[in-house]
Amino acid sequence: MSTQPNIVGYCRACGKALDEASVRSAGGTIYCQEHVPPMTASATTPPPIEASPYTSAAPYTSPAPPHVSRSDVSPGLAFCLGFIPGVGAIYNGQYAKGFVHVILFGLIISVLANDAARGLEPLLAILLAGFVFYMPFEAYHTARRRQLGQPVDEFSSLVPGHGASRFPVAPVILIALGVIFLLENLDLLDFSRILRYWPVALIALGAYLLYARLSPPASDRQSNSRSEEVQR
Amino acid sequence: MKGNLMCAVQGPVMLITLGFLLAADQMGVIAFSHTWPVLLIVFGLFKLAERGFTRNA
Repeated sequence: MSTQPNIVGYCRACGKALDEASVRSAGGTIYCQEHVPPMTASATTPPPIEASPYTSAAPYTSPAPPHVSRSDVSPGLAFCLGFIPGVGAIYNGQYAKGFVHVILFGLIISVLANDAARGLEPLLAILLAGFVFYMPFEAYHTARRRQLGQPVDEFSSLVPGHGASRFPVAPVILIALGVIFLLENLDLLDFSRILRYWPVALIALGAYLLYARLSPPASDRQSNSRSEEVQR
Repeated sequence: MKGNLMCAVQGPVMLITLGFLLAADQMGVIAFSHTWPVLLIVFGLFKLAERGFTRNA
C-alpha cells in the first residue's frame, strides 16, 4: 500500500498527504497547513494522534478522527436550511451530498410532472413529502455530529457505512448523468423515454445496498462498528 | 504522488475544457447549451481517476 506508513489523511482542499505533525482539522474535515480555514487555524490544532488501528488501515478510507468539539455549528440552523433541497447538506460542508439531494428532488418532481409514473403518482408524491422532511433531519443529525467533533463522511447516510470508498458511486453517477444529458442535447435520446424506466433506479439502489451489505472487508466492518458506537 | 498530480491538474483541465466548449460555441460549431454535460463527464472521470490512484498509491 503506502510507502509512508505514518500518513493519517489527505487534505480536503489540495489532496496532499498529511502525517501526524502536519495534519489540521476543522469541522471534522482534514486540511493541510495552508488550506485550513483561517478562523479555526489557531484554535483547533489537534493533539498528536496516538497509534490507533486507523493508521494501519488504508489512509484514505479511514483518517484518524480528531475529536474537536465546535460550538459554531448550529443543528437548528441546519434543520431550517434543510427544507431547501441541498442547502442543509451544503451548510454541513457536504457539497456532493447536497448535489445528490438536489438531483433526487428534481428527478422525483420530473417523474411526477412528466406523466411517466403511470398511476403511481400518490406513491411518488408521498416519497417527495418524505424526502422534504428527510433532508432537514439528516442535516440536523449531521450538524450534531459535527458539533461534537465527530468525523462525517461526505456521503454519510447516503451510502451505507464507508461504502463510498469501496465503490466509486459519485463519479459513476456524475458520468452517467453527463452522458444522459449529452445524448439528450444531441437529440440522440428522448429524456421522457428514459424517465419511463425510473423503477430501474430502485432496482439498482437495492442491488447496490445488497452488494454493500454482503461484501464488507473485515477491517472496514470493524472500523464501521466502532464509529457507530461512537455516534451513539 | 500521482493522486496529488491528478488533483493539481483538475482545475486547469476543467478550465481548458470549458474554454474549448465556449470557443466552439462562439465559432458556431456547436452551441454550448448542447455540450455542457461534457464538463460533468470530465469531472466524473477525474474523480474516478483520483480514487483509483489513491487506492493504488
